[in-house]
Amino acid sequence: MRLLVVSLIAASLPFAGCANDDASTITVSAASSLTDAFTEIGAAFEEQNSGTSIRFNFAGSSRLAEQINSGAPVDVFASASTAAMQRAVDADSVESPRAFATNSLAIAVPLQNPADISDLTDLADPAVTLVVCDSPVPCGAAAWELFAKNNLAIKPASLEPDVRAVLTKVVVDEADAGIVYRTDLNAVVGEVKGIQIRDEVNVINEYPITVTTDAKPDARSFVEFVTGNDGQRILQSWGFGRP
Amino acid sequence: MSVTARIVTSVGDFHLDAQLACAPGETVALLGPNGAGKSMIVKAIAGLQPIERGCIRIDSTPVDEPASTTFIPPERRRVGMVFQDYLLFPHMSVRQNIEFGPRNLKVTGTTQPWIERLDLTELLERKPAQLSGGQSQRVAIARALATNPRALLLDEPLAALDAATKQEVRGQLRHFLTDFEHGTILVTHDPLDALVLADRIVVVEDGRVTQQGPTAEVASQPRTDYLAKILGVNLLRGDVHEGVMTADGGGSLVVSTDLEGPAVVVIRPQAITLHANKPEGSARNVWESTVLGIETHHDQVRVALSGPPELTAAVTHAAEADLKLVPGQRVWMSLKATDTDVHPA
Amino acid sequence: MTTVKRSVGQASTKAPPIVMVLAAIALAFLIIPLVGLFVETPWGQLPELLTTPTAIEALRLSLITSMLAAAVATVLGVPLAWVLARKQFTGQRIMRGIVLLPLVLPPVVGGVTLLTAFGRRGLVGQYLYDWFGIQLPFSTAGVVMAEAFVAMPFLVITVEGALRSIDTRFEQAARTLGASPRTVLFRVTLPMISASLIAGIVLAWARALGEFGATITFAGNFPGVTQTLPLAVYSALEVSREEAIALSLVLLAVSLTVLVSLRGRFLGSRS
Repeated sequence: MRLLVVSLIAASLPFAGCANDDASTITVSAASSLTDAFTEIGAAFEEQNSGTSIRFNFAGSSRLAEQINSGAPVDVFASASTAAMQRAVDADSVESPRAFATNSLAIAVPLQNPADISDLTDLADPAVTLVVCDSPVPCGAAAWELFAKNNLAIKPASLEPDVRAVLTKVVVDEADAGIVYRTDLNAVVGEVKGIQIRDEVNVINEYPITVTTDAKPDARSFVEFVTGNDGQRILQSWGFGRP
Repeated sequence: MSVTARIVTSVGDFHLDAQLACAPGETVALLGPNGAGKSMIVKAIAGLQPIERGCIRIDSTPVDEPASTTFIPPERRRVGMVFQDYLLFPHMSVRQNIEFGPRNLKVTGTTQPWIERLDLTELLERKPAQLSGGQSQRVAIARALATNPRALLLDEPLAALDAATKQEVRGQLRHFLTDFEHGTILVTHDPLDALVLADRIVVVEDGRVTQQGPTAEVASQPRTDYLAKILGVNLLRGDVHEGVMTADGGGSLVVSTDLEGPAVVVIRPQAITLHANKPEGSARNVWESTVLGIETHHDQVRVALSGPPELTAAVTHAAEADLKLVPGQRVWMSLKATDTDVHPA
Repeated sequence: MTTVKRSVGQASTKAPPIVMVLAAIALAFLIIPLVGLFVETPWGQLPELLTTPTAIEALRLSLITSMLAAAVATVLGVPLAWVLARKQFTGQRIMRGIVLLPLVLPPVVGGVTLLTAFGRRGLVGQYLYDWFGIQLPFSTAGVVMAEAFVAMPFLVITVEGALRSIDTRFEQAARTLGASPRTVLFRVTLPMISASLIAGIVLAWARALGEFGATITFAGNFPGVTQTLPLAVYSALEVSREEAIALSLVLLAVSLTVLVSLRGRFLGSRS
């Protein structure tokens, strides 16, 4: 009987998941707006570096920073805002970051555009069901900055945990409009209608990337790849701006 | 006040086809083995089991007549029913149980008389879990009667009691039913209940009525093997004084009891022994009798003996052969006083 | 002959050692996270963290919506449980399976299915929106719906089980005493299952209180309107672990209080 208990415990150990059990896997936490671009970058990186595999974790940057600060076994952190990155920097969980892309905001509306949105100012109409990201999330912080910059008093219907959640609400035609990144519109071509916001009234987000303080040695090469020609080409093909 | 019923219905493989009637003031016992369909009959009368064909009338009003799609639901039939396990609502006090019916039917002033008549005043605030078997039965009866029903249905009223209490409660029930002005239908598998409590017996076996008639008649002349086996007893009514019972129909017996006054005596035919010559022994009741008739059943022979009082004895086939019993023959019979069962009438 | 030591008073059953070991592990498994929470709680900052408008709004909203959801679950669930327990009809097994689906369905999936039914372009929702201008997502009513959706099966299961366990002859007896079917239900049946009914309602309420996935997917997240306590915890995680822990503690305290006050009447056993 005692043997049964001991063997049960022993059998479960392999599933405990040691942090660095597989030396050739790099874990990357990236902002959800980077989902499509980074997935492509990851595939390209793996092609060039056979034997190494990339594992992605996409979510709101502020949450990713909290996870890293709590000790999540991550090697690389790519954030959608310097503010979120700063949290990790302040906690000494990451090394000095550097910018690798920029992004600006856009409005996504359902294909039928039920609320007839054509301009940023249309969003101020209280009858419009607008969704944005939660304030700590870079996309959300940028949205509020955008409204302040344009003197708009806006009351959203919901504060989503990340930008992809905002996009989803628009895709299923639950929201009349959502504030997303310009790059997100490229990811859902044909599913939503995009309304551009002019650069003069827009908010620009700078995206920093870095390795964590306990990252694997290979991690640095991934960062190099992202900031190098290959990475940059892919990022720009998805609509990101130069750093 | 009166009930007439012709019930034809099936549940699964079981098929019931019975006809019976109960006059005001009469107590009719439905007697039969378990599973015979007796409970189904009273449930049909109460409205808890709709019938497929036939007609049930209470006071000449049809309450269930499939042919004319008449069906009066149980709550409007005004028939009181006492269930086998009494089914007193466990979350209500005795008082609330009794007042339940009158509250629903909006009748007043009916509960107090029954509470007193059935001696329940001290039990009113108790919960059913705190009552004894006999007390529960009285509460169940009061609860059923507080609604002022037109008839009373009792489904195995004594089955849930232990042997000692059963005897006592049966006696009390007998007292009560004698004075009860409405018709009562009583379901039981215990022949003693039928004998002591009922005016008429309707025998139900396997969904059919196999015999019916006045109690004494059915008791002494069972026409089916089942009846003969469980019933076929001698039933005498009369007066008991100082251990001697003087039967209404003449004759007397020495019985074993402390009771005085009107009584009913039950004597099992098996308790009577027959002898060619006058027997010696401790039996108090010994006399010579004439064989009036012989009935052969598959496991016993029933011998009708002249009286008074007229009694029936049961012996084995072998004994019959030994004694060479024929009608008209003189034979000695012997019956112990302790082998008689006396009940207050 | 071996003498066995008897303990005076309650008869104790001798359990095999393996049972005690596994029971201890099970208890530890459940208790250690709670201990962890307590250890990490910023006790000093607690008053300030818990009196923020966000925290107060979230608690208020959670209490109101969970109670409403429990009420909805009860009003709709008791009749459903009654039909499942008392009636016989074809497809009953399938119906019961569907009723219990929210129990096994991931709550987020539950939220998605609610969207397809009651969202703006949903099966039923589109008529609500086009004809009456009612949009359930992003509203407090939507929160109540999401919570009721996941909570109802708990109530139905508990009540159905209780209804099956009581003797239906009591209901028959009541009918012979002049009680209409409605009177039977309210004065006999429901009182007889009162312990289980209460346990079912509390269980449903507790489930509604802790609901997250269906709420955030269907109703959205906005303080004061749809941001219940669990959603507030999730939001807080984006900013500060301390705030998340503090709010979690509130949820824990409220739930624990209610569950303990039930004093083990959970399992449907009637005294």
